[in-house]
Amino acid sequence: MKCFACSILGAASVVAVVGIGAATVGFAPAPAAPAEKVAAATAFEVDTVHSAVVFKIQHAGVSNFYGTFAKTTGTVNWDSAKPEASTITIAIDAESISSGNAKRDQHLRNPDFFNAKEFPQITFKSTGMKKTGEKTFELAGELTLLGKTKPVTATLVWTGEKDAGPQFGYRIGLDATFTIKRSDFGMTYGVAQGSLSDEVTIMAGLAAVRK
Amino acid sequence: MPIAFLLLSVIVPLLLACVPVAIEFLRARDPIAGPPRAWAAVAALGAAFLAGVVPIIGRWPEFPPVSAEEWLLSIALAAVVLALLDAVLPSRWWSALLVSIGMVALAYVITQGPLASASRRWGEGSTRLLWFAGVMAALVVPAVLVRSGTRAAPHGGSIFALGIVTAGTIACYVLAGSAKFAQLESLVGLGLLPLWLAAMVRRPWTLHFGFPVLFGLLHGTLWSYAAFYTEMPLSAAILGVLAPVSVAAARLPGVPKRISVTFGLQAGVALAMIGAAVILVAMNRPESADSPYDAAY
Repeated sequence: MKCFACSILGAASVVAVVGIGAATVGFAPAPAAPAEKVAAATAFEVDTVHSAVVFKIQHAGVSNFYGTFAKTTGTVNWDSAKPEASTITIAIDAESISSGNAKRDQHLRNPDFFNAKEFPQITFKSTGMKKTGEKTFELAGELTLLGKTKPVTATLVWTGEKDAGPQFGYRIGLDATFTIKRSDFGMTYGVAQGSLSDEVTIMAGLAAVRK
Repeated sequence: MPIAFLLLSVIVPLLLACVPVAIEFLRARDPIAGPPRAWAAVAALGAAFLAGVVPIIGRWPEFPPVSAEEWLLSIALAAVVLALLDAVLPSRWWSALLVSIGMVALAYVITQGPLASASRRWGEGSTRLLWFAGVMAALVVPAVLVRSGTRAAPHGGSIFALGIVTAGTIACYVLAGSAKFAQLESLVGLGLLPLWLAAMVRRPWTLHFGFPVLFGLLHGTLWSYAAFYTEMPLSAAILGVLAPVSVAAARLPGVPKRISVTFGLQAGVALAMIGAAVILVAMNRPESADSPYDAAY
């Protein structure tokens, strides 16, 4: 067996990110509104086409390899007045993994890695958020990968929010990054051999459009 | 391959498989003792598989299992028990009935649990019923025909044919991109190896009670998993899961009972069936990238 791969992982899932947004007011430069007029939370839908989930894994103990998931869906309920109350739910299509090599992609979809036919989705559901800076948050959530659910903590960065016109709508952008040990989810291929690292970093750049 | 993994997934299963075979081999030296008893073949195959399945999966299954591969340990354990019952119970017709019912029940658990709900290939309605019937047939038919074939040819030729099927199955899984399934099937091969060597020397070797049930369940379960969870062509899966029936070639009308004839016939049919499956899987592989590094992607 070869080693394949590289890649992996991901697991990805990543999580998610979040999206966000909020409403009118926001975090972004927006005119302050009277507190009583601020919406509690605004619902956003992840823009699958303009969102990206990337994973990074070490290959052969030497280099870093990057792969992507092409299809990410989800919702963000963003409370701009109280971001800690915001919620994020993300689902990644495991079949949409891409590593730039057809044979490796086939292997990644198989039971050695993502087992995409049995577990077609990788999901993230937020459980809490804490503000750590002007535009940064610590996002806690549960990642479900290969049928196992584990808590993860991501670094979340608010990257922008505005009405981008009739073509793109009112949207918000978020970056999320976190690291998992894939063996925690039962994905052990290549770990013992040292061909692929156990730790995988997942990076998600999310665009979400107000519903 | 790290030493610890090699030890746990290859060496230990092989050694454990040798124990029951050696016991019956030595006992059968005494002509009064009769041929080796059926339990040894079941124990050899069962020990090899049960010993190696957890190291290959990489973890102890949760309870209840959360995935098909985690079900495998439970399924194998149940299959070993069923096969041992078939091997040791005196009422053959009754035990055979029990085993058949048990196999069908196992098939139900295997398929309706993780497979049916998860795989897109499974489909809905009548398609699902067809799949269910097909999976049950995949588990029962090879077992029944292997039983028939090993009764007619109770020697190493039958095991050799199954070894060819196992080797070809491993190749199919590797080509389909699942090293884990290939390693699991290799446990079946490790269980067959000492049995084959012993059965070549000590004839007849009792193989038709218990052993066909266990081989059929393990081989059929792995192929059903491959059909649902890998990008395995359905035609290859059907050939692969049915390839053990090659053992029954020894019962074809007009075939001389000489071991050289049945050995060659069984091996030839096995090679043809599983060889065709390998070719089908190879043809289904994604195109190689134009790079010398593609082989070790």
